[in-house]
Amino acid sequence: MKIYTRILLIAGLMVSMANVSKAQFDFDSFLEAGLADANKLLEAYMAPAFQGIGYGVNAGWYNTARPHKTLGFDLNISVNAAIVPSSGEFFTFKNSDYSNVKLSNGTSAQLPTLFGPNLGADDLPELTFMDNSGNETIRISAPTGLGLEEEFPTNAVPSPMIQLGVGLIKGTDLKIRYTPDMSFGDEEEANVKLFGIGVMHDIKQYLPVVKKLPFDLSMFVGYTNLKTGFVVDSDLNQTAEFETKGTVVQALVSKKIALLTVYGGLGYAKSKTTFGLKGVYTTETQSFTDPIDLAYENGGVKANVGLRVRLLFLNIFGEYSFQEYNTATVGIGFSFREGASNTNIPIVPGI
Amino acid sequence: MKKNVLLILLMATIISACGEAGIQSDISQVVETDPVTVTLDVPAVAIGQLINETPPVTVETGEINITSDEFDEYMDELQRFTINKIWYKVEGFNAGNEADLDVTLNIISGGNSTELLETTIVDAHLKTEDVLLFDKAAPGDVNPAAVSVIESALLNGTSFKIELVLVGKNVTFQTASDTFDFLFKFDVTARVQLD
Repeated sequence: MKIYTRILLIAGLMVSMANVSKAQFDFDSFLEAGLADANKLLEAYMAPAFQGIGYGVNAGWYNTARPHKTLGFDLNISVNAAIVPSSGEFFTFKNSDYSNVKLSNGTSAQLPTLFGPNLGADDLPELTFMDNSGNETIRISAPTGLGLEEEFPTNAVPSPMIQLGVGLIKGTDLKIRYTPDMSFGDEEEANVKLFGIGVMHDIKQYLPVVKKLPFDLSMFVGYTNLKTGFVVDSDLNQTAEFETKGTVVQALVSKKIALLTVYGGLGYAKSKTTFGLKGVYTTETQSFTDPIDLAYENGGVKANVGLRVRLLFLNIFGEYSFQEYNTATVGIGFSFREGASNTNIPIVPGI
Repeated sequence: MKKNVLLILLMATIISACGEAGIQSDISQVVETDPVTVTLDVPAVAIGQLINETPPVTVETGEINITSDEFDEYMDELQRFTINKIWYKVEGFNAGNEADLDVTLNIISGGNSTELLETTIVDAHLKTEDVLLFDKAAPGDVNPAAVSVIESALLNGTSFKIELVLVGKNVTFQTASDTFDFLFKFDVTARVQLD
């Protein structure tokens, strides 16, 4: 049972670096009910967390459509918060979808996801776990949500990012997101590795009429890969692995007005997130190897608007992305040798 | 050191995310007790004869400690126990022997005895499948105080015993005595509060 606490903790660490901790159902029974059921139930319960981070990694790539001059660069730190929609707070549990887990009463019910409300035991439907012979082994309250909306201003999955942008030639920026393989804890129980690469290219220069208009226009493509690992039990060699890959392709437009830059993007973003529990997990009756293997994919139109304030070399920016999980981004950074536009006259000379 | 500080901050944030409410869950399981053996005697002259009533027999179960791995793991977080249902069944009657049983069930905990129920089991020799004795939703004649004694014993981690006082009614035995087992099953819910 305690293992489930760890799993939720791990999930929380990986998902949002911000929440989750306790347990509410017996992980042994969960496994003994069958891996198919275990994966299905956990997949539905964890969906908003993993979906959220998938949306999060595709945000915060830029705060202007104007590339740097050659060897100009910027360094930004940002936090993207994918806001879990109300539809992500519950999932529908149908008895017919499961073999060895059933509702104790009724054939279907709305159960909270991890990002759902924190309900008391009296308000949670009861799940009956059965062995392969159909005999009841245990009944447990359905897992509750964490009630984050009651604790925080919004129900969101945050994902921090650090990235460097470097101006190349011909109005092209190369953007890199990177952290080395960092380990945490006295016994290095957790590790995080981030890599992302993006290219922003000024396309306005190729458009005869448009290039004289007073705004910046670029194309952007970016790819992010976030890998996290966590030791569940070092003695038993049990680990959890989590990976998110996100790709975004957008047309960007921005307009600089004095210290302010208004920017926006329109395009397509997709992501895939996988989560696996590795190792051998032994219950009272069986052993399971690599029992949990979840995968989430999403993709769709991504439109975002943002505002940047530039104070000498310092940039402070915020943006909002419109997609299934709307995503808010705030960030701060430095920028040097930002490209000049022939139609935008910088108010602060030399910047 | 820097990484550890980061980890601690991270963990603190995570723990705090659960808020003051904590997480609550009910864990329910049906737990069987060890059988209690009863011997009912009839006079030799009455073998094969219908006897209206036998002398009372008093037996006790051993110390019952309803535990399971699931419950044990939450010993520190248990908020309460609830007895949802109690069943009994009778096994081991010799073939051809028939009896009704007047049964008084007492719960003995901490040296105190509390009557749970007085009932008559008609055709006890046929009660080889679970028979519902108590249902929280329809407690009937069951003494709620005795149920509370069981629930308190579970919460406090102490054991209890069930004392059975049996009187055979309408007994027809083909042998001078018959030894059979009473088995009890409890449907128990443990409420766990994780703060």
